[in-house]
Amino acid sequence: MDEVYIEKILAGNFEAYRYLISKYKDMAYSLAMSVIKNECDAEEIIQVSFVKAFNNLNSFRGTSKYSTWFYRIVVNESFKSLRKQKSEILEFKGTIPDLSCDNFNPLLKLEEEDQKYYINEALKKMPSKECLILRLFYLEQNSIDEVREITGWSVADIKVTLHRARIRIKQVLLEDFKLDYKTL
Amino acid sequence: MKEELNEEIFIRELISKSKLEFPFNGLEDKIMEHVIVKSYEKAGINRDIRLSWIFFIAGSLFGTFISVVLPHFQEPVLGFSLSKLAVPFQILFILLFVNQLNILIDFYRRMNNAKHSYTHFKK
Repeated sequence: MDEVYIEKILAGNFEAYRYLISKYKDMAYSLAMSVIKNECDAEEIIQVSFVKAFNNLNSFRGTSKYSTWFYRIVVNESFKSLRKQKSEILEFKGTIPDLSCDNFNPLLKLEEEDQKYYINEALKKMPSKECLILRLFYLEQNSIDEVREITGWSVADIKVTLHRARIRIKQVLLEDFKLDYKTL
Repeated sequence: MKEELNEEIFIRELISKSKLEFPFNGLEDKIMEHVIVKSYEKAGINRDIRLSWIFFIAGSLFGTFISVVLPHFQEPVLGFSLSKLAVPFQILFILLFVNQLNILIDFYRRMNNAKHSYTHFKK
């Protein structure tokens, strides 16, 4: 489907690019937020990435999926921005609703919106690389090879980071939010 | 083994809820505006490049023609011998030709460098 729109854009129908923007903006935002953890910076990264992708669309060979190619740009831009800021993890400064009441029930089932909130807050607290790999692998359901193509990391590095990320998300949910991931 | 698989399923389900929605309005419009301005600029640059090649080739042909023809003019024009102008003209023509060619080559080299400096697949 993407190819049809890419062909249209390359043929001069620039309005077709709207389709790609609306299709990929949420996932691109999720990836940028995994790395940069700041809404405003993430917005800027998304804008720059979409413009860069458009300007270089003629260099997209179609050997991989458009999403892989585009996410690679987003990830590069995010790490570039992160390097500028020179801080690996931004501390969470918001207020977390306190669930650590005395009669904490580990089987407590949260509402969908609350679940989303806690998962995203937990991801915010994780290192950029780990957070990014979780979203690429589990949310976008990319294969290890695709993750390698997007991030440029080695397969061994990806597997190790993924393993650490799995442990850390459980740890963060449990220690910071008093939530067992199995109950979410 | 079974526990590992279960854990994998749990985490997959957990992370599947982590997709964020882009919270700002008008992203499409902002990008499209930028894209359209860029494409106009690009179209303008391409037209200028085309014109510069046309004028370069036309100027080179005309200069070559004059350089060849000028020494053969024996008749003075307004009391001035055109054949005496041949050598200064040829020198001037070669200097201009080399200079303009150098500018065009330099331009293409810079354009090529700019294109390659953006490497998507660089870590």
